Amino acid sequence: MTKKSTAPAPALSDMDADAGVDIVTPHKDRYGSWAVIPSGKRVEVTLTTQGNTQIMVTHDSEEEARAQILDTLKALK
Amino acid sequence: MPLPEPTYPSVNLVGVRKEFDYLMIAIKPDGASTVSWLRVPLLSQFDALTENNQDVELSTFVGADNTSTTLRARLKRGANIPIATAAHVSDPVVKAMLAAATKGTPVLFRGYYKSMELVAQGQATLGSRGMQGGTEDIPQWGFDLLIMSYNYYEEATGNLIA
Repeated sequence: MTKKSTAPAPALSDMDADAGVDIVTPHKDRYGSWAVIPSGKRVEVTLTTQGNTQIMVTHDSEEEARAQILDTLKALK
Repeated sequence: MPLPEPTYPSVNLVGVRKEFDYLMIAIKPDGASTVSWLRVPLLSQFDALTENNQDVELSTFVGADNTSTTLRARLKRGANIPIATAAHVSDPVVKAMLAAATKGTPVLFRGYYKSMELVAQGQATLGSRGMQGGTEDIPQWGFDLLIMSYNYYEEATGNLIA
């Protein structure tokens, strides 16, 4: 008798599901490659997607910059 | 007979170009003012920034010694940069640029002229020049970046070149 796995089924994150654009490959790690470069007191965050779209945001907070990049990605249809 | 020793060039522009010039734009989102830079998928065309200056002059009175002075001024009338992108409209940035050109949405631009070691940035709108090329060409879409205001910066230091 096989033991039933208790591990949760893998699920797409909410952001993956919301993105809904073909340049995002949800199963790839976090949309593509991220580059984070400190720029004085701010931080410059760049995302290069699988589809070779590059978005760059300069912000006080890295998390806010990442959120803004994902918002921009969703707005690109 | 000993050969003369060659000398290295003193300028740093003769080396192998490791990075090409490129352009980033930020299209104003509806009802928001956040700046997210998108790298434009350029084909070969990323022309230099051409300043549209106008010179005006005013001749002043003629002096008793029969000489005159002319007042001259140079008025800045924006600038433009012609570019061409990969024309495939499945590219989301090309689509967003086309929409911005049609609606007249304001954009910000940042042109990285690696060859000049400077960055030109400012406010602009996009104008479409339409599809270019025939059946045997690699398709491209022409745009004009119609610049309203701009400044030059040293890329290495970020200092304004005033």
